[in-house]
Amino acid sequence: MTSNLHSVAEEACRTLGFKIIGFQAAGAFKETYRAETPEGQIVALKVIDRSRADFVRTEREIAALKRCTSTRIARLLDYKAFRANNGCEYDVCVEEFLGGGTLEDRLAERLFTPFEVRSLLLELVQAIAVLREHRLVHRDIKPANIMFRHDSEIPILVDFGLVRDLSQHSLTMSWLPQGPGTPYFSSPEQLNNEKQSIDWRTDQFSVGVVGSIALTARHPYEAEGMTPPQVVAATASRKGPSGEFRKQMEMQGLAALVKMVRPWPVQRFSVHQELITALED
Amino acid sequence: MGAYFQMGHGSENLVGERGLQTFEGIILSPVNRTELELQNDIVNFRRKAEYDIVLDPQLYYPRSEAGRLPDQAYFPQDLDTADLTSSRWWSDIVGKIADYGKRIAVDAICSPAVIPKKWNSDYLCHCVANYEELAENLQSSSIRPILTLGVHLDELGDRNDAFRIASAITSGSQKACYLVVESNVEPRRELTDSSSVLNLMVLIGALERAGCPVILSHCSSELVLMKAAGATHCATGKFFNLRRFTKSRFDEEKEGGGGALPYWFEQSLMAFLRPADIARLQRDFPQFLAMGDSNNLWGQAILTQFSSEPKIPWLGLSWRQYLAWFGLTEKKLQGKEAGTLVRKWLREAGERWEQLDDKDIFLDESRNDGRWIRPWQQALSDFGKVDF
Repeated sequence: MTSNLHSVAEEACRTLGFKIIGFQAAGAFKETYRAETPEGQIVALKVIDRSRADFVRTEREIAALKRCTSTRIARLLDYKAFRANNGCEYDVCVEEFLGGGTLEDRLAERLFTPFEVRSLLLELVQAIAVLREHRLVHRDIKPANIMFRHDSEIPILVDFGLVRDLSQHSLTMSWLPQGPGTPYFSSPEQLNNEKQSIDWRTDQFSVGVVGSIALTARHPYEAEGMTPPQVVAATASRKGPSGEFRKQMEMQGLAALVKMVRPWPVQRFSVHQELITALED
Repeated sequence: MGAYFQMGHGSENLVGERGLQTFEGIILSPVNRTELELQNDIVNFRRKAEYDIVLDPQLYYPRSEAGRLPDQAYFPQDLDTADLTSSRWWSDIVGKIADYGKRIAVDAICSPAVIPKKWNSDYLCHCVANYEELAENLQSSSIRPILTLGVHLDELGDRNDAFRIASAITSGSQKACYLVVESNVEPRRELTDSSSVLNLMVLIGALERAGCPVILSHCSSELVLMKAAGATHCATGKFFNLRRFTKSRFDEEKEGGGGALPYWFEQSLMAFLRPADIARLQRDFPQFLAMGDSNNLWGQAILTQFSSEPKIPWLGLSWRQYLAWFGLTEKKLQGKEAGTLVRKWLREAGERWEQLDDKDIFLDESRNDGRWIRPWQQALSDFGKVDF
């Protein structure tokens, strides 16, 4: 795969003394590569096109990753502003390489058992609790942004491109009908751009959706025959989890999942310890 | 868990009186007292009992210059030119309020909040921001910060509004909420709009279920509904005609309190009665008088005085009878049984009003006819069906 960003990544690697091993992922204005450092360490090298990305968001992402030193959050090893030979500015992030793939890859192979879902949720709740401590909201938790180290089953949150720092002013205009996030995994407050209600409970909702997908391959708000856009619409209009979902979760001993995806933040768990206890019960 | 006594004109002498010992906390009013007076009040209150003493800075209408408010050290001097939306401006005031509370040695301080013309997301952010600022200012002290939220009853027409407000208010680090409900309901009149009453109950229920205990300010006989909704504490003042939180209450207080008319609160009808009404009930339905906690120490004193010296004024006794009912009932309505008990009281009150109606017995005041009972029953019934 070659692209404009690929040549910039190669150029950045030459400067850093790294060697590109392979392509990993691409976003709207960034690409990630596997690279090897002079010491032989495998890392993820992310190149962001500053002319297309919102630099303030990139700055916040970097600041957030620097603040969070948790084993459940991808480690930022280095960051550099990089001027390429084409005269343009890029941001280059060196992050730890997570060799265990994404949750999305794993779910493509098989669904999780209730036991596995419980373990997954417990780990993810610990991760968002760390973010909460730092007054951060990820806002884009989905299977593609949950990865694993090659030697561990602990899920790791990656891609903080949409992170909201509650101690800073919001970057989203209040007149926008919808706030940032992947709609299918977004909470009603994100879908309705209710900025005043965005907090750790927003991530709790997305983690709940991930749990539901991992267990049943269905969104909690999905009724029989609904298309994904209809599910998003049902979420935005706060229809609430389907009756079938509630029943199923109760039967599986995962009633806490129902509370995690309630339409209003105030209806979800207010304290992460409470949520952990409910999941462990 | 227990009632709070909202201080008003000359209320200080009622604190800790016989029959009023059920009150657990006191909400100070800087509108009526100087800083030094409040400091002395607190010393006196603490001698009487272990009250939870809360400072409400009362900056609801910052441009109103009620009572002694402008003399308080935290009262802003630049009101006319200030930008009330500026967080820096509020930050300065919050700091002064925290210092004020520390000087007079209160147990808790309510964050300052304006009562908005119309609430929106910016207003909710203002409430949360002022609270967080206060919490930061009180970090090194043992004084508890409480988040103040002002809502207008008319703005609670939609169930979703209650959840929306509760969601935004619980987005911070708040541990408790002081809820001030403004309404246009006239003094001495009950709330009759079942939909807004229900949504107020939902707001309280949602906050409480999210682990945010509510102190409901300026409460009247609707206390029974708010307790059924799960409010941890309800607060009341002594004046029946000032019990509503209306914008004009600040002006009314200027004139000296205005609690000139005595009332008897009768639980059997959930109504305030005038002296002639008491006489009517004594004559035609004596079994409807002095029921439940209306039959308290001060209620008995009133009835004794009526029979022995009917011409003697009983205004002071009437305040005490009402406050005693409020304190006792607030205490009784703790826990999960509150809803069942209130449902029963309202059903019985409705039946009694029908009996009065059947016998052509009309109470003195034109709208004192029990018209609020059915909306209250509806609100309570609908509250039981809300999916929290």
